[in-house]
Amino acid sequence: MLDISGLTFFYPGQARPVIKGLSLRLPPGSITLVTGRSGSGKSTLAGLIMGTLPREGHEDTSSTCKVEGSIKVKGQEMRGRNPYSRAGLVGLVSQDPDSQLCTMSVKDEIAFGPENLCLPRKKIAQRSKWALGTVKASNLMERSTFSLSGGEKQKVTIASIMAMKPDLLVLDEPTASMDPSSTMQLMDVVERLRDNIGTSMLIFEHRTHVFRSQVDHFLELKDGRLVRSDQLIQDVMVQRKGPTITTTTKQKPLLSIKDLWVNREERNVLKGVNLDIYPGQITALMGDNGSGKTTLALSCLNMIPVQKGRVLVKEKDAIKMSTSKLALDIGFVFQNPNSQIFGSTVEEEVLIGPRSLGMDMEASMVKANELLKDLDLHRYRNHSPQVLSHGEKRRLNLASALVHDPGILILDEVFVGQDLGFMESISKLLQKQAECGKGILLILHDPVLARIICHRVAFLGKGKLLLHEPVGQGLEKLSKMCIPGYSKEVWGE
Amino acid sequence: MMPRLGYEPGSSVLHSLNPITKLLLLICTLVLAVWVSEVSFQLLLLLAIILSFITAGLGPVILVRRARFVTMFSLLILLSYTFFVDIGDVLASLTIPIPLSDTGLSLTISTGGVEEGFIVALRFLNIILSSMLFVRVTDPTELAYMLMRAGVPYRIGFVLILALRFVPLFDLEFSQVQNAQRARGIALEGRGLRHLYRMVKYSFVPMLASTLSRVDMLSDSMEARGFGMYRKRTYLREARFGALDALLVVGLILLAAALFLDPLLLTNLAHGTEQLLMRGLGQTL
Repeated sequence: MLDISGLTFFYPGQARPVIKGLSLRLPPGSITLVTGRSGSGKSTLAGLIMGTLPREGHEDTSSTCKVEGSIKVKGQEMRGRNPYSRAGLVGLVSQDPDSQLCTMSVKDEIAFGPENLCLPRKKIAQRSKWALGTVKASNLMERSTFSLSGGEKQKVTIASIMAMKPDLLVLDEPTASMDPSSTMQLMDVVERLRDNIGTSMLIFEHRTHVFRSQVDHFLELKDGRLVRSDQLIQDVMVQRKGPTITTTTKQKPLLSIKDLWVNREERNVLKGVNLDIYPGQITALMGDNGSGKTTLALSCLNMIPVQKGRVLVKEKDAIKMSTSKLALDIGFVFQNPNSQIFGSTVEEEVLIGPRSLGMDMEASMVKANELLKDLDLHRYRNHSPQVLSHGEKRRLNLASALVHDPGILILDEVFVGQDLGFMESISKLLQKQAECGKGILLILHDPVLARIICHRVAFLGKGKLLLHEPVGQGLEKLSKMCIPGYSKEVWGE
Repeated sequence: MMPRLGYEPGSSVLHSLNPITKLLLLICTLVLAVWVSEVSFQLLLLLAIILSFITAGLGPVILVRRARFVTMFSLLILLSYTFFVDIGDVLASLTIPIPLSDTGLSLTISTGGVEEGFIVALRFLNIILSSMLFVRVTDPTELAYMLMRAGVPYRIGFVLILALRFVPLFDLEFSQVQNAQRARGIALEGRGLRHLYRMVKYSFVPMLASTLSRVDMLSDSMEARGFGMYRKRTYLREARFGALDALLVVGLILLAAALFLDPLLLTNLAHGTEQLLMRGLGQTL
């Protein structure tokens, strides 16, 4: 189905190729997963297959990029073809469904591709119905794209591509920002497409264990070439024991949330949540997308109005304090890396917090450099943060939140886009912070990560705190509650 | 978070018209509101617009609430013309004494001033209210698709659709940027050019980065689904063009032809109606 041979790719002005004589042959109806370290060239390879790299007219004719070798889909040479002329042969699903949906209704979205192919109206209607059926989402046909959940959006994205009847589907970190239940829905879709339609799939993913039962071949992109990889991230991780609790609840909590009620857009998002974060503890805050995790985090920094309840930060009433003042005690990392990068260099970015908070700049500079080294960003300190990859930007966000040494850390999805190596360095850094007596609230979706990094787990369901327990017991309970994506098979030692 | 931009879904006759018919009606209303300088005509037009609001299920409460500012502004226009424009017969005049001034402020109310005031105020009201009505009864996505079906190049039509799709996301992102600034201790309050420069820089950079990243991903996704493959494309949405649409479009064409032959047709009609009304009123009294 896909036949790549001798593929080599140089970015402009670079002497070393990112992809170096790469060859790959995908049999029809197979699923292949490609993993690799951050910066190993996974997105470059996806771009080359899709035709978004190099851009039309640039290939081999200017100094921008240099490509050698061949990429064939169903025997047809892809090189030199525009991305739109590859439509119908290959389709792309990327990690952010919001940036892939271009219309406001599911019906228009699914019809978008066949309309571009100039198919007659009747045929478009047939294709649309069939495409939504392939992802088991016929019930979404009349919905607005704004009303869909994360998992539903990704299903609609895939259906809109399936309406083009591609022979090959490229999925670039498709589960990165999904909750376990949406991830399970996606896994089901992947399996159905292979088994029922015979679509071949090439998945680029860091979290290899997510697709372990669907994937036929595991490959690793290393030094510009693909090598066989039999080691799943989970296999590496499950051998690790979780941290032992070093603190007791007899200590005073650093952050205390009491009977918190929050309404947003005329809806009860939080319904009487109680949660304490103690020094030296990392608490995983989990729950499906839309369960209220981000709202809870924003309430701690007094960023949204609270209907009822209290938030105490180091025993001070947070609701009566300004966010800028609370920032001294709370280091916060938001979900979207781009919306929280303000500086013109990496170093300046890390120092914005200490400067705004009126801290000693010399000491902050030392601390900033230490953090940049710990997070492997020191070599970029004089570069613009905008040239960093998604994973590097997330690590920069983390460094910026830690630099002024706040007592509490609230971190929303910091592991997204990180390879195994960086997952480990971030885990170590967080554990070190906890050992220094900090209280950490870690919003994440991966129960495996929760088990090996966190002391406790708090689970939100439809705005209510369903449990808050030591991590082992908590995950055990979630497994017994049959919550999709939390079965013991997924996270167990 | 569905972007409505003022559109209120409904099942009224106005809602069911083809968006292009509604657009033509709006253009016609705007042209007439600007062209015909007759109080009686502008009043009739206003009456027609208010009736259309009510027929569309947007009752007087919504009208009063939404049009409060526009009405106040129209009254201001009327008062300004009444007291400061002096044309025709003088109806009344008064002088307001001003300390340290020998003459004071002289105000004259004249027939021409009052008439001009009414015309300009009603014209303003008609232009704003008819546009408001169009926005409230027209689904912008439907309008974009119908314009494309009517021959507007699809790349232009999709600019409108993408704007509608992404404006709410950018709105959300802007509030995220502001939250992220606060969370880093950046005070949003403050004065002075330096503070303003810093605020613009700290908001502009992340918004631009975020937008470019989305645009990149979106164009890849659209191209991968064949956008731009051909000069033309087909559509799943049907062009709804009913009998009423046809009737209204023919009516508009006839009106345009009649006005071309007799530019004063509507002015004379308005005069005739006015005289008939006055005569009827006189007989009743």
